[in-house]
Amino acid sequence: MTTAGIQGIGTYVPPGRLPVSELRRHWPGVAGPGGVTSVSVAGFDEDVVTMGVEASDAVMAVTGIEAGDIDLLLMATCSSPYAEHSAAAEVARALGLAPTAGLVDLAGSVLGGVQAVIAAADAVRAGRVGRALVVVSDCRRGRPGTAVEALGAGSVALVVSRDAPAVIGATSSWRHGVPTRWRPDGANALHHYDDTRYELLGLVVPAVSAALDALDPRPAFTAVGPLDPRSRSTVHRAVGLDGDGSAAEMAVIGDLGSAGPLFALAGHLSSGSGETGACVAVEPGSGAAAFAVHATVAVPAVDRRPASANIDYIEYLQRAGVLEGPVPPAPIVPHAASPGAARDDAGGSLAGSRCVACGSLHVPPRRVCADCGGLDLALERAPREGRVVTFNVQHVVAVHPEPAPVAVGVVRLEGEGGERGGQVSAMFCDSDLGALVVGAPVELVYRRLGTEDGLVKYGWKARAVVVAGTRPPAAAGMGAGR
Amino acid sequence: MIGPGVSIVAAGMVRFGERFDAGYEDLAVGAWRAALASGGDRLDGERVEAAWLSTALGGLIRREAVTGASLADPLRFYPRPVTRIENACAGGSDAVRNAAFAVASGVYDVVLVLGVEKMRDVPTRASLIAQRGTMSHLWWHPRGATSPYLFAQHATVMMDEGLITREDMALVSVKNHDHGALNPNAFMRKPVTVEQVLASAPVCEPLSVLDCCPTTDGAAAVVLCRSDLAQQFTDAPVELVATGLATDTMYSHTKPVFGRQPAPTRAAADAYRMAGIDPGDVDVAELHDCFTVAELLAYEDLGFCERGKAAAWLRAGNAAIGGALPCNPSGGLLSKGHPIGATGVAQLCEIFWQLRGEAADRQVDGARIGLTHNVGGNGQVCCVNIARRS
Repeated sequence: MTTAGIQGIGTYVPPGRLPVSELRRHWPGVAGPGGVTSVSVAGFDEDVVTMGVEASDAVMAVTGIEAGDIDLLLMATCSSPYAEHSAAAEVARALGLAPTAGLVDLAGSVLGGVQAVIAAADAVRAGRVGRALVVVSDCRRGRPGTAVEALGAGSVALVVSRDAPAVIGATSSWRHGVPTRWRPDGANALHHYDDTRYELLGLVVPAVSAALDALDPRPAFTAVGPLDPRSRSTVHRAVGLDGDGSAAEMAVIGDLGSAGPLFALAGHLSSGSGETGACVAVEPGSGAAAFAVHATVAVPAVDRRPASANIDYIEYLQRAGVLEGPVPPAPIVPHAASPGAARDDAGGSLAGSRCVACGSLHVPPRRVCADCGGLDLALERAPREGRVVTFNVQHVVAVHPEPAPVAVGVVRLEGEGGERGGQVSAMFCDSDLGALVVGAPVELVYRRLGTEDGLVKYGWKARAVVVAGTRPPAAAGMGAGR
Repeated sequence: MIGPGVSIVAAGMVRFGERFDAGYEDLAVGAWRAALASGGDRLDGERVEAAWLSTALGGLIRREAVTGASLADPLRFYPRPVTRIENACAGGSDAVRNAAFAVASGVYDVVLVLGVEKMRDVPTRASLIAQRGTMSHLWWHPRGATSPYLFAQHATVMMDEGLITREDMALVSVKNHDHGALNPNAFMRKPVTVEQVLASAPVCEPLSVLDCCPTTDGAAAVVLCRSDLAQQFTDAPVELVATGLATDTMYSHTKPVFGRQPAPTRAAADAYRMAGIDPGDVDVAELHDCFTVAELLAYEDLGFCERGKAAAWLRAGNAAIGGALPCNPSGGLLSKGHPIGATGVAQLCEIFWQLRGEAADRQVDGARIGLTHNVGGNGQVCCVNIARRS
């Protein structure tokens, strides 16, 4: 019988960190998540799409899988930038997947990440697709002043295929209870019935226990989420299983929503323990979903994690859009949904055109070579690495919602010659502006470039090359970032 | 010489500044009346057969179409032909160039060139963004780019290569404000010090507020005619002897190099050849100093000094009034102001006055040959015009 398994895992955590002490300072007396000291926060220019692209890019790099090899993309999130419009399509466009690749959006429940892996495994086992990419990304938040206000941000991307090192086995599902956490239609923040002991002991533990009991054979460890570290310990004791060793890490990045259980699993799979584990998603009042996984050898994994930086509560609220400054006057440009914008969308996947005659690469694509005037150019995806040619830190600039100053410049793409070709213009992101210098290595990353009428404009920014994040010892087996 | 010869016989401008008192039509009529007045009784407006209008941001700031009628209507110039030229910040000089070609072709004897820009009906920030909209491809100009960025990117590279310092740029601002203080039509007439420039608010590093030209309302006009008719209108015509126009890429990332600009170099080479002169023959120049670093680039692009020597050439006092080749005696864009479409025409007004010895306190002694250097966008277009005292 054909098996389906996990061929590789990529994870991404944005650099922003909100210390829980900041919340305590402004909301004294409100209990925070148990055992959490800080939570990761998406940047002004990040959302579940851009974080999903980061993790996908990481897993594609570590497995050597090309965009054209992916037959199906499943996207799970509770914090899509859209109430209606496919987030999966946004990720597929950025990655340059074939237009024939299937797209599935799972939204509105933190069970979605595990459910997406189960669906992907089913599709692979059935022989319907050869290779599926599962992208799970969240950046949720709770209502200010509540125990669930501080939630984390991050993403996981997995490649599910036949004959993979981590075989996906039995699956289970268990519906239980009525909700204690919900986000009403039109609301931006999670509401919470404030009885965490009932939530944990009356809803979470029974659902996880039942889902694990339904797995055969019984696993040796469990990666369960999204839960805070203290609640996870309680669950582990209650079900009599070891945890996945990610507690220390979760303590500094917080609850990653639908990405939580898969993020916890990632560290374990990369070590190739040979044990059978269970990945369990739990949502109080909805129940639990689980799959068993058995890794005989280490699963290729890469963790993309720019160096973290603390932010204060005001910036947290600004990033969340709770505090919003005046929107600067916009330049007169065609609407982001217009035919002109669509024509130029070749750039969504960082397309360039290479001159057949002289070899110069032009990003975005040109019809005539800027160097030799050649008329014969072929489309290809541009390299992502480069070096700063020139840049300027701008203090008077009309971008929104990022605060000034911002840096803009020109980047010479790695390995590209040409006098006028081989370079791109870009805004810089996530960089220490004072540290930018001519010649500095950068990589191009997918980011939000503002919104128009609620429509997000995505594109590429340059970022100082990521230094591999230091992971806690428990997860040291994961591959280093580039 | 352009064809059989084209001369400037009248020039006029309005006081540049934040003209909250004056609309687009007021500015246009003001420049026209000033030009007519400069010709005295001998210049009858009815003799003007056609006009070229330069306005860059009409559509973006006024939110209405600017056409030939935008000049014809307020001046009651209709039904005479009026062509509107838009070529970014170089539109004013390009309008002069095209009007000169029309005269040289023999179709018209006397024509008007009028540049006008009304920028301060919107906040300075909105005006800045409108300029950004015209400068490049609307989607691919990088988000966050602004007008100062287009020149500051050269400054970064020149500083990195050790060719210029922050202080060198500040010295351009100091010199041009000193000059502008002598010009009653200038916007910013207060001298500044190097310390003040360095301490002014950062805009686009390494450029600060005092490295940047102000958002300006203004208008300027010149009247051109066949050189053989010039004495009918004035005893002291100035011949427009050469014009050069060149283009380069619209984008920063397709520039072949930073720290030099191919279009101005080419436009100047063509103009020098047409005039039959060398850079060393120029007595006075009005340069496109939209940002301090732009004037340093211009010294080298125009051949006023060797490559890499701009800072030393400036520090030696060459570019100040009284120096070997005074640059921007009017105060330049930094002090006089930069009403986009009017700038190239106003540069030629200053050269007209300098070559006629009418520049009062800021007069460059004995000036016979004058040059205007008018750059559009990021250097994507440049027009160089040369005039000679007849």
